[in-house]
Amino acid sequence: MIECPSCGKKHRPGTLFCTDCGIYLPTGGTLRTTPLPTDELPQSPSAPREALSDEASAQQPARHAIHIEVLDTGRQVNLPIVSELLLGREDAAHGIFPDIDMTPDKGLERGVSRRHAKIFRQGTEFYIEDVGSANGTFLNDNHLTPYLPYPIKEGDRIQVGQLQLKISLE
Amino acid sequence: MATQDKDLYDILDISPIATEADIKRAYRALARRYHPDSGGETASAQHFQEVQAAYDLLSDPAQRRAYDRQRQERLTTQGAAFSWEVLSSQHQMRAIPEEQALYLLINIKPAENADGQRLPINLALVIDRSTSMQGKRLDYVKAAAHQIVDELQDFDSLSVVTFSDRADVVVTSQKLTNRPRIQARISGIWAAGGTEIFQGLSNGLEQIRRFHSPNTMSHLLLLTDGQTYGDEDKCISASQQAGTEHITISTLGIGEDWNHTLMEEIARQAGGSCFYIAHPKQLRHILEQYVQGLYGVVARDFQLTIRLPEGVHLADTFRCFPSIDRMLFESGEINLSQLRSDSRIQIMMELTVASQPEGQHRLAQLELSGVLPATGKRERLIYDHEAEFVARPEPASVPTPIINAMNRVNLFRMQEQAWEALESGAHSEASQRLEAVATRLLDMGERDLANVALLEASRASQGMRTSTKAQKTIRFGTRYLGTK
Repeated sequence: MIECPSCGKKHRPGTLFCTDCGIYLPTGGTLRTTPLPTDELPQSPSAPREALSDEASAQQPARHAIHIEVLDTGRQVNLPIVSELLLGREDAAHGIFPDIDMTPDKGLERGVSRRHAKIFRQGTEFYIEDVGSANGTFLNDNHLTPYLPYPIKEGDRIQVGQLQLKISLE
Repeated sequence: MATQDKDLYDILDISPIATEADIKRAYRALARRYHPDSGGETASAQHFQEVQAAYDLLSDPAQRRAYDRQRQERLTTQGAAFSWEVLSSQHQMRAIPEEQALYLLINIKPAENADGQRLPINLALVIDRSTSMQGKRLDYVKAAAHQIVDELQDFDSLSVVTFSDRADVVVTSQKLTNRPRIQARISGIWAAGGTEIFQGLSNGLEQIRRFHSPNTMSHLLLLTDGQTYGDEDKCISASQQAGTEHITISTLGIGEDWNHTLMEEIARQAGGSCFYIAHPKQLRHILEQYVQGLYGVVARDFQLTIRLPEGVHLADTFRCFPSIDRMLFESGEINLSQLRSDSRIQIMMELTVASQPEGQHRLAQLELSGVLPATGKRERLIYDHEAEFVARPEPASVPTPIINAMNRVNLFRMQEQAWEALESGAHSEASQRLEAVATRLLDMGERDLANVALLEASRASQGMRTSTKAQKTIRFGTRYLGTK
């Protein structure tokens, strides 16, 4: 038997979704449910913390913002990563307001789903996860399995629908 | 030789996954019946030769394998009228001493260039005219019925039955030659009395049988806004009977007070669908679409059969497209009613597989078949699902369509469990389950539905009765997720 990492319910091996909490079992959702260590929380602007983080960044540069360039249109998006960013197309009628809205880049015609992918930070790593988009997400030309987080790094190319994006982290 | 075009398994009347013992048993029984020396009335030299030839080939494992391969090629993925693709959650299974879960997703499409035929439609409208239908509801129903009369062709047939405490045949089954008369009869329907569904259903079936023939699309549409008492079982068995006659029954529930469990069961038994009409204004559009959906029939008496070897069980079966629906699976057959030229059907099967030794194993055989209206012949496709059991399977990701379809099916099941918990009085369990449903709905971007679920979760936690409207909104809302 395998155990749901979220609610502990037992399932036969090979089961895809937990029948109680709905989590996708092959990836276990573990990445999503582990609580963030407190020192990785988004920085508060208070001075002592900044000083701390400056020290930390001496060993490992802490990155807090993501820079996305839409290669097809040249549009650039700069965003701080607070918790997670939704990439998709705005649909006010359904209450979907993505942090990274692909509507200006002809997202609809280019096959971007209203909820397409999530970008989030876990520890010092950044991840992208396709959230069941219709046309899929590609990372450096590799098709991503939905609901499975993949680490991303500086200079990676992401494709959502037919739109090409370039990632840089700051 | 006749055996050339007849299926050997059909000749012996056995399943294509029959064991050697089954084959022998079938052969003996048929030999007794047909052998010229048996002296019985059924003796037939020609028939016996056929049986003998089939047995000779199938009882030899090597020849049978070769025949199976040929047969598989003949009956593979693409027929003249329809095609399919079967995806599985894993190609390799782990050889472990435990039962495992395996998912098969079956995508069914009409073949490219498949000609859809406009077969005569034989429709029965069975309309609830109980007091609660009075006013707007009945007006909208009448308007929708008028629309259908205009939409149908002269060679189609229509009957209209109303029911309250008793049933009345308002329009006897007839060809659409006198539209004004039919419409006038419909306009004269008025509301009064209670709701006794069985009366209406059985009268409607009686009417529809008049023009029912293999090449007509016979559909009974049952419209109600209320509950029936005491005749539920009779309704279900009438529907079951209709299903075996290839008469489809679909049900439409108006408002919040109808019994969705019964309406879904009636539809499921006869290969139809159950619709939730939140506002009677939607009726006209839904009926129109329904009737137009009967145009362009590529295959009728469409069915999917699954045969499972020992150790493999079907845990659950769902249709995932056009809407999510649990499928009836008696004797391993699903009634899919018909396939249209502009539609597709998606079926998800959840199997449990007992522990198997390492090596290649056949885990299921699927057969899709339907009658082509143009020729009246049944076309079949057969697919064997095999999987390799190994100690260490190569890492492979689950195909995306399976993840997406199963995600929706699972959510549908979660809300079902929530209502079940609520019905049995387990309020805190129901509340937890509804919260989980809301979380998943939010994840899928369905904010409105998620809010409804959250509200119901808090009502349940306070031991309050759930709103029937909310229940229907969530139940029917989760069905159409991701299909719009």
